[in-house]
Amino acid sequence: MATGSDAGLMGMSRASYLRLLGFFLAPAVIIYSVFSIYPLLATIFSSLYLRQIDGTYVFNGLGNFVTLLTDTTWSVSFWNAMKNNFVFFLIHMGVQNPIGIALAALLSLPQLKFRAAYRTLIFMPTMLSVVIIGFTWQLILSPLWGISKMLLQAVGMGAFFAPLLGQESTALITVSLISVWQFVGIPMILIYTALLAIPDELADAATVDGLTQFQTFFFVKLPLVIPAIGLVSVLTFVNNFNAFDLIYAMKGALAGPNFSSDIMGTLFYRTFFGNQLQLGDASMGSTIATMMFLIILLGVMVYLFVIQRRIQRYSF
Amino acid sequence: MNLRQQASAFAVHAVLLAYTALALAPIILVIMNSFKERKAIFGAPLQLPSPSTFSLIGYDKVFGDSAIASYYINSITVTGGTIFFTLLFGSMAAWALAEYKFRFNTFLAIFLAIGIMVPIRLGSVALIQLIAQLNLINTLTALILVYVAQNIPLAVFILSEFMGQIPKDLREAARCDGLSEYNIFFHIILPLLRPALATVAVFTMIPVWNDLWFPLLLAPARGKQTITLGIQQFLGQYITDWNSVLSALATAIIPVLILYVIFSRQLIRGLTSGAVK
Amino acid sequence: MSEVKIENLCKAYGPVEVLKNIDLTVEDGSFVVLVGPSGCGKSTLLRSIAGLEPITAGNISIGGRQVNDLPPAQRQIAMVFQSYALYPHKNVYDNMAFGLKFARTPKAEIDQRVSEAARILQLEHLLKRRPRELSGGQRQRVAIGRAIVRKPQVFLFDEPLSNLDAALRINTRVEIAKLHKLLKATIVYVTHDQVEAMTLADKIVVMNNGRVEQTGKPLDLYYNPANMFVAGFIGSPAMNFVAAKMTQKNQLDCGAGMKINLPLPPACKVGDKVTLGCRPEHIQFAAEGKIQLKGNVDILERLGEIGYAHVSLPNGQSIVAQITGDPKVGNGAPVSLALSPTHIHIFGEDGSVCSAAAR
Ligand SMILES: Nc1ncnc2c1ncn2[C@@H]1O[C@H](COP(=O)(O)OP(=O)(O)OP(=O)(O)O)[C@@H](O)[C@H]1O
Ligand SMILES: [Mg+2]
Repeated sequence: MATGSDAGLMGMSRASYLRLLGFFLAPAVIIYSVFSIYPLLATIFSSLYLRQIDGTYVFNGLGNFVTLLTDTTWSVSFWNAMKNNFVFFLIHMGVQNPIGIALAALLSLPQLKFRAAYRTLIFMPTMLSVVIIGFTWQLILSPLWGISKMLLQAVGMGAFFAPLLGQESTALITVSLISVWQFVGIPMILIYTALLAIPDELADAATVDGLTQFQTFFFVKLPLVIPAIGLVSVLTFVNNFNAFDLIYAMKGALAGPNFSSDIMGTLFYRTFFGNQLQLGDASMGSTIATMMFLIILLGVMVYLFVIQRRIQRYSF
Repeated sequence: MNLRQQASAFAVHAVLLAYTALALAPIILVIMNSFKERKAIFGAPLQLPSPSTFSLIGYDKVFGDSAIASYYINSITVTGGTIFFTLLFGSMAAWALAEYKFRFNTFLAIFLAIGIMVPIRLGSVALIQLIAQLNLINTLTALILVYVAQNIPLAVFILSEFMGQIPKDLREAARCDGLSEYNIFFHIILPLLRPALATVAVFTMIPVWNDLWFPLLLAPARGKQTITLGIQQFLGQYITDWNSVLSALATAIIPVLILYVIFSRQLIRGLTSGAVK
Repeated sequence: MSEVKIENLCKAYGPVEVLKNIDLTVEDGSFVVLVGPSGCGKSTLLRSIAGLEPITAGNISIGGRQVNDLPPAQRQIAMVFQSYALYPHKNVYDNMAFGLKFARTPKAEIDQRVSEAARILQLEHLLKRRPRELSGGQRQRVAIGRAIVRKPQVFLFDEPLSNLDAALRINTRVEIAKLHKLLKATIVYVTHDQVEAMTLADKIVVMNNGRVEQTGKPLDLYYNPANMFVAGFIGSPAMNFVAAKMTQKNQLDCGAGMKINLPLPPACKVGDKVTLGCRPEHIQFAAEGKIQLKGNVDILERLGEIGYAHVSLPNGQSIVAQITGDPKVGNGAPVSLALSPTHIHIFGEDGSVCSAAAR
């Protein structure tokens, strides 16, 4: 508008213009600042303080971070959770997203019958609460119920039955795969949407050029949905490093057996609230939350400034 | 259709059917077995309930023992309240950011965008203290406030995109017609934004309904639990009572399933933002 | 009394000056058309009058009242947008009544005004429909109806016909002309279309690059353009321009041996570089005549009764001449062109006219 940057609307005094802006912006900005940004900053801030025996807090600089990363009472669980969280993430990237892309590719085939039905049904688990899903799978995998054993026996692999959730070697992978099973609908829908945005003429042109449907997908469509795949990846990253519900629901705050399914979210919860083994500690809880914040920030930055910049975008 | 095409169409359906079965089987299994007596649950878990095995004993326990109804009411209140305020405040802010020029416009847009990527959960330590100071622990108000704060950034983002699609001429015609800025928003923009509001409502509703973290932290007291937390606690308590556990799970699943089947078209359309063919 | 007076109006978007010192008077009851190439600032001028854009400097008054700082609703204007800007969620009746409702107009009066407008515009049977259930022409009429019910002092139209197909455009053009007569309204109208401008306007304002190049009655602009821009802009096909030089008191040298005898216009002196202008309709195939040019036919475009010949001159320039009937000349054939002496325009180096040919 005209000159000054706060120049109002035609015929409106500055005061009533500011009142107008306040009316529209204040509710959102205030609620968001008070209940989202302030707690986040305050948490980061309190990670710089250490709790004394008498309950008071003293400034400790980055001391808590040094403790977390190097003092074995903390660092062992931290690095364990960190490693597990990366495994959790890599399983999502390696299993959930490829399956999601494949399903999206099939769903977007021209002249597919029952498209809407498939789409709706496959997306269904994504709608349900993680808690429900966690318990459901816990029952199914439970040796007590024996369903999974029966199924394996039915296909002649009864010997492979094992208490997947109870073994240190398999608990994390099993939980990760359950999460994959639940959330595969999200990459599927996002990539399906991106595929639909590609004009039909492009696929027709490829067909005229003699490409098979399979080749058309790989060489024409897939390159065009890379931005959507990038978005799916960063969403997966943020969600995975922020995950908590599923492990808490299936394995409790201790993320057993022997912390083998412990991830950042459960470690944070345990540290902050305490558990059978230790007292709650707000300072170290904040420190872990801040680490999670930094990891997620790093992931988002890498996406925004490295990946997204390199991705070639096309408009149709 | 020639033979090859038929074969490949068959293969496509085989794959999709197989995956659909994988996606549904666990859910069906739980619902099916929740209607059986204990012996049949263990003896023949893969069979449908028959007159001889049918039993509602688990449901008796669920509805008798616990405050299921209050869980549902709490969840509906929290989700409904969150959707209402997210849509209202989010669209108001999106409108101001899209329509008015002022010094901090860009700054505010970026400030709000931070919340899209950074989960509010990470601020839980300070948030719980804040809620305690405000005397809101164990209130649904606390949950609504937090969820509105959590969902506003994405709402503003999506609604701004849609706002851009409303022709500029329309707002100017309204100005020529003598509408105040407030009336332009509430009488022209908001009605036209309805499809976008539906999309945002979907994005808001599912995570809020399903969330475990904030109910656990902010409102875990008896009578204030949401359905997700309530079921979680119920399951923990009755973990050895298979009838109750299965019925509790089914009780949580079935309403969502029914709503989902009814609204799946709109919902998927919302998720794909109108791109569905 | 609803005269629009614009004095020394300037408008800038940051450092970009979009309107530069515009002076313009729209007399009460007159139909003024703004024309000019895309991006010259027509819409910006119209929107400044409407109050949709704040102005940087200058004055706008409507009906003798200065409106610089008034919001659109208080300026007693109504605007018809190119995209019609009908409220998609309201039916035709409500679209027209909407502004009145917010102005707290009594229900009976709203009813009366809307049905009056609907009658004039033949929209009576469509009042219950939503905009998407209307054809382009009907939407256009609703947009005009919405303007009429406001009983404004001034109607502002921004390319109202450009979304209509050719046949409908002609119809609606005639309707708008009738409406102007009927309502005795003051109208400011922006268009790209020459024919619209020529047929509708009492006064045409030719704009270029944020300035008013010339203001006048349609035929004045046609016969007496003030400069090369207006000369080239008004009239279709556009006026031919040939670079030349005054070599003697009564001779114009167009290069390559083409010399034309023409009295020296008052504003020119011997040795000046000038541009000679002549419209295609004032050039004929003819071997005799006071002003002659020779060239070769590049291509003939026959439109029926008339046609156009593109002829290249020896100096490399190309001009267009109007032909009548079906002259039997092939491509590349040499022809003689006769320019009507009374329709010759001489422009100086700065583009402004040195001698307007007499009618
Ligand atoms: N909001 C804006 N910010 C900066 N420049 C603008 C803005 N709006 C218009 N302009 C510029 O002002 C000039 C005039 O625009 P205007 O819309 O008045 O042109 P116009 O004559 O109506 O063109 P058209 O015939 O294409 O509609 C253009 O060069 C345009 O780029
Ligand atoms: Mg324009």
